[in-house]
Amino acid sequence: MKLRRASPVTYAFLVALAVVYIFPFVIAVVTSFKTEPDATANPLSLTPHPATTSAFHQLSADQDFFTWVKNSVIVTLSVTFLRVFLDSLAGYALARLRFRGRGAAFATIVAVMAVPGVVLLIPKFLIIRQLGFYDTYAGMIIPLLVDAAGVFIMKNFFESIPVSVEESARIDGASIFRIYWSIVLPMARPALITLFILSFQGSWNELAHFIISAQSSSLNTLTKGVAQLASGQLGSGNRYPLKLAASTLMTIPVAILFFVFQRRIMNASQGAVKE
Amino acid sequence: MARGAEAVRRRFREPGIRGHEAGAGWLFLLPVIVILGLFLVVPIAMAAWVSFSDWNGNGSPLGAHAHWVGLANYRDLLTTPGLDQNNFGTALRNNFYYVLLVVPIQTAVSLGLAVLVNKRLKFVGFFRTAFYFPSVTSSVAITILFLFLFSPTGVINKLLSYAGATGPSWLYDPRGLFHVILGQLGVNQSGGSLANGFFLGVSYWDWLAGPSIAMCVFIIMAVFTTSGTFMLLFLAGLQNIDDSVNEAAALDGATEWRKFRHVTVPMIRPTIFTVVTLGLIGTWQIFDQIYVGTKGSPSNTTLTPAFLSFDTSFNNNNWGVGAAIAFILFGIIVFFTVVTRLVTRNADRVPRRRRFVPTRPISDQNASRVEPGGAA
Amino acid sequence: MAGITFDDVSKTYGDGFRAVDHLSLSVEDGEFVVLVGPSGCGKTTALRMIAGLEEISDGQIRIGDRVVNNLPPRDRDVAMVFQNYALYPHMTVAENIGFALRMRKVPKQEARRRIEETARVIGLVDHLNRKPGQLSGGQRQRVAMGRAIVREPQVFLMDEPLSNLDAKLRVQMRAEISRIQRQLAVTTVYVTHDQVEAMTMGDRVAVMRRGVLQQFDAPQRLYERPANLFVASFIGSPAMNILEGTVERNGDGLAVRLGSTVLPLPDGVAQPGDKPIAVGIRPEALGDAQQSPDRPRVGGRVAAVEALGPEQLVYVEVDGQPVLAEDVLEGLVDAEAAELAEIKDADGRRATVVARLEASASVKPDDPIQLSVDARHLHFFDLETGAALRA
Repeated sequence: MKLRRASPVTYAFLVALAVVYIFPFVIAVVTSFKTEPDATANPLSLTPHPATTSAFHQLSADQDFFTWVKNSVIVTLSVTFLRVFLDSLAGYALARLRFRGRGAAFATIVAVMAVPGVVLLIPKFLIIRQLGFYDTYAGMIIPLLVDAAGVFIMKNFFESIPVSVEESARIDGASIFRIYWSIVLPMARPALITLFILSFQGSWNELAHFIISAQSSSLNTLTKGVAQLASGQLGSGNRYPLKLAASTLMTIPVAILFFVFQRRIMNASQGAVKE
Repeated sequence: MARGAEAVRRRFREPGIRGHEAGAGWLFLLPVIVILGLFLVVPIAMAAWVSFSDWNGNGSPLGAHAHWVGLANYRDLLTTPGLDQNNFGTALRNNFYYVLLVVPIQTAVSLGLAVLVNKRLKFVGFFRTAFYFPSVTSSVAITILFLFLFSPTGVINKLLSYAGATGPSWLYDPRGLFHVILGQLGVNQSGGSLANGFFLGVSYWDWLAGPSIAMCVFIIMAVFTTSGTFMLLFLAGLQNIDDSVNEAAALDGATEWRKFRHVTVPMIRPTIFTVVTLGLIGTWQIFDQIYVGTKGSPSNTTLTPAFLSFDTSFNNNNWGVGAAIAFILFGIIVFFTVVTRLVTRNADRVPRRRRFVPTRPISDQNASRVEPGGAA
Repeated sequence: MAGITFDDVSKTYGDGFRAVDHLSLSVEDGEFVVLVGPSGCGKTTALRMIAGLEEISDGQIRIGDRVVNNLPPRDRDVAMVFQNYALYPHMTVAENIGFALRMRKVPKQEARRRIEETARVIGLVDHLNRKPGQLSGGQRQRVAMGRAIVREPQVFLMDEPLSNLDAKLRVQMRAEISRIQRQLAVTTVYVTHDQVEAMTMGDRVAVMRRGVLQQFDAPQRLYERPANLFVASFIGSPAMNILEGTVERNGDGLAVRLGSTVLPLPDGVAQPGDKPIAVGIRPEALGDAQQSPDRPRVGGRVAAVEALGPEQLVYVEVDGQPVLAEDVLEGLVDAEAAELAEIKDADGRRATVVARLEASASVKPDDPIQLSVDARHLHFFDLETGAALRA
């Protein structure tokens, strides 16, 4: 489609807006290299004076921070890979396999999708405790393994693949699982990547679930640990360079993912939206 | 005979031409069904029970520690004057103003951004990325960033001081925005007779406070973080508009604003409703930012039902009330979702009268797409 | 190798729609059989039932002497070529061809040998490492063929394999598929809606309509002795001219009157006083009256002329009533919508017939013309049942 060319006024406006959106992040990065007095006195300055990496040193010297990173990595990777796998299995079954109860199963999943997450905090805590998963990786990971929206995305994608490809594989002698694994899954790469990004971002940034599923500090994830850091229970002063350094480090993985798959995220807007 | 054979085959579960498809289907669905059932359906039932009980967090809520108390928890929140009712009423008021401001502003901002980056631009990718980036970062990181930006000696107040203004202490300022404005206009801050009437434990005067200055920080933050996501939704909607419609309007001499108002907006009406609905659902659930940022302070003016539900249960061990808050919040979200649905349905019919009628003929295909709701 | 037998097979869908209706048909071992008919006639459903992609509601299908009704596709030893080729887009040509061998755990060495051999047969030796996305339409079609060939199955099933190719390539691939089939002598069932494809490729052709088998015969027999009005109008291009006629006595014998034309009627076909019958005349049974002065004639006015090089098709408006029964119209799948509308709009007493004349005959639109009728090659049908009437 032909688009109207933008005027210089539009450009100026856009640049101003872009500054508004980017500037806070620049400030965050710069401040993490400042000393605390400098950060307090000159919050706007873009040149740390003096420049220091003490915030980062402090974090890397802190055993806790490594625990947080480790936990975030463990949880995010387990959740992401398993979720992509389980959602695609279910999506395939709902899209293609014929069995009694399929419609009811799908209706249930859609209904579940409509339940707002925050409402589930107490219920999830109750069941996790009841099952003896409280304060374990299992309690942190398993409830996040499945998301109805992911099942929905995969189902829609599988339905867009011509069925004759699978029929051809059936005639060629492939079993149902083989068709799923060797034929359908490779063809679903775009949807899998979308789901991967959503799951990674979602579980890396997740906070509420980890608050209610564990309490030991050895199970703190980055989000939970940094949130506690923000509440200032770890010391005196405002410690903004330290907090912002932690936030910056925490943002790096999703930022990398974002820039690597930028084009896909920008184009696959419809299915890739998450509140 | 063939029918008989079919029946026998069914009975003995011998695979037909589709092999063991039914078995495989359930097997493929099993993990999802089990996990959704175990961590969604069952716990909702458990929480429903807890909301009718006096469970205090000791032992299992299914054991001897929990007793049936009927609607007592709901009454404490809705009808019995007391701390629970006052907190809940305050949280509802806070969140209500949050929703009231965030939803329209984020919808307008994201639509504006989408229209801007839908033009033929150099560096269009850069601009889209810049606007979308806040959406991918975690709520924790963004909240910390905003705590810094809006700290009393922070970036925002520094900027304001350059402009000769003295900024408020933001997250430490419990004054309601409307009260502040009324105060500027010389209205008595005691609230007069409005201070004597109460609804949900909160005086009428306090209901009219508006969002506190502290809450305004969260409102700005919400717009900042979500506008990118919704911009992408709008962008997809805008790209579905056939450009010949815009050209036809331009040839008719329509100004940019008129084109936007009478061509663009009606054509992306379905997307607007999607964004408003998602916005309503999301804003009623605000939790992370409060947890990281203020924990409800100052003076409970950033308390939200989601945070209150958490705090009441996990910190005050009043699980019955906490669970009851969660269910009422669920009801509120369902209510707003349904209302938006109904409004959408009616709005789809109403604007037909006002729909864009070009004076120059455009092709049938385009004409039909002008109809609002056609792309829904 | 094995033949295929349909024994009173029906396919009924959940909504009660009967896609295939009591089909009985047997395909000999090594035979090339074409299922042909307009869309929705049940030919593809029948093919998919052989493959095991569609449940059989009633009756029995046998491959060789094995009943396959409840056998999953992979146990049937059939290979299928799909209309859209259904190639695996993420696999190379070699992997596409070898997938079935991998599934059957054929040893690597042997698989490689068979893949290469197949690539030679389909002429894609140089493309084995490409992916389908990098191939032309014709090459993709060959890969689809290759995937079937490498299996060395008992049966080839082909579902409109050429319909996505352009006209020129289609003719070329038609010959190639026939060659490969003859070379491998594998029993083949081929589905198409294109009667030219059916006539040129099939050892025998099964014409279907609305789920019911109309006629199963060698192509020449179908052309010369169509069993009913539908087959008569479906097979042949341009289609057979079909007019309504009344039987009358003419001297010693019988005759049939088409408007002002009277043609001799063989004994035993119909009796005077019977209801009107349908008379079919192939375009080549009409000739230039000046060259065959002793034959019966039809007079009319030239409506249009299509020169085809060695011959010309002459559309002549004659005195007579066209047969517009549904089965005739349904058979005219090649006719364009405008033509059909014209046929239907005729006032009932003027019909347009097509004659295949030599290029030398000089005819111009609007000229009056006299056509001779080869009375030996007339076809007669019952107007109500559509069945052929024979002496």
